[in-house]
Amino acid sequence: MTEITEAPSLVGVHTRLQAVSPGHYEFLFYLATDSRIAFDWRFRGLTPSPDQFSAALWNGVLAQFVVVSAETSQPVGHVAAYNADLRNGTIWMAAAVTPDLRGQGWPLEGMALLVRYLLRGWPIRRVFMEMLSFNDLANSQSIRRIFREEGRLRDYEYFDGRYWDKVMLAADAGDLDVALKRLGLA
Amino acid sequence: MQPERRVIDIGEFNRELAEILQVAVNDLGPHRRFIDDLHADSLQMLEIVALLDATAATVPEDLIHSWETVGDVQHYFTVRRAVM
Repeated sequence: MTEITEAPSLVGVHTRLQAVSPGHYEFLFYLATDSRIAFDWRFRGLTPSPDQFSAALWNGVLAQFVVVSAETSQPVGHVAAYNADLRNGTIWMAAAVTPDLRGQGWPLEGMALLVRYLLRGWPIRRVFMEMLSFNDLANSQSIRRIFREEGRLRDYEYFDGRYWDKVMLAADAGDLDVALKRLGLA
Repeated sequence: MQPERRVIDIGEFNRELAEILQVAVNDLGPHRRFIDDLHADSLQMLEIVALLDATAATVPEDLIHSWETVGDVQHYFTVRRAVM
């Protein structure tokens, strides 16, 4: 008897994921260059040309999505999985949320949907993230219940008059599954 | 997607809320503010929304924007549980 399997869902309670297409570039450019988050995101405050932007958007990417509100269908964030090492089962993940919605939590459901998509689709055993130490998630108690600090480059990047640490966090697949269950997304 | 619902009382809700916020249940006074008093981060806010989704009703975005205190989410839980 053939076992029936389902593709990993890209739909959550508050958000859903849409594969990045050229129609999203304007939103993603805004997200990457908005001064409130630009120095903590991919281009670190640079304003790339449209050609540079679209080329850089796909560097090393395994999968990336625009996070869309389930209620309004408006884009609210961007999640990406990159630098996959499928021989060793590791991957890096990044997420950005529209500055107006930062701190509200629900757009981060998109990050959980990406994790679920990765764990269902590839033999991933460990997920890494890196962030600068002024990011609230770098010091978040709740993220430290899932991710552990695996490295810290001290005084690594300059922003706003001082140097900040770059923090590297890692979570194993089992811990991520537990976190997905807590969010009702297992 | 609709979350699976489970039935809990306000006592259990407060226990789970305290666990998310990593504080004692006694520290969950209704006037305590998530950001200023409890230093809640965005992942904790996501977990609180997921707790309400699963135990009361799917929370509308606009409501989440307006929440400031523990009392706001306790009120939502109590009112929505009453009509379930």
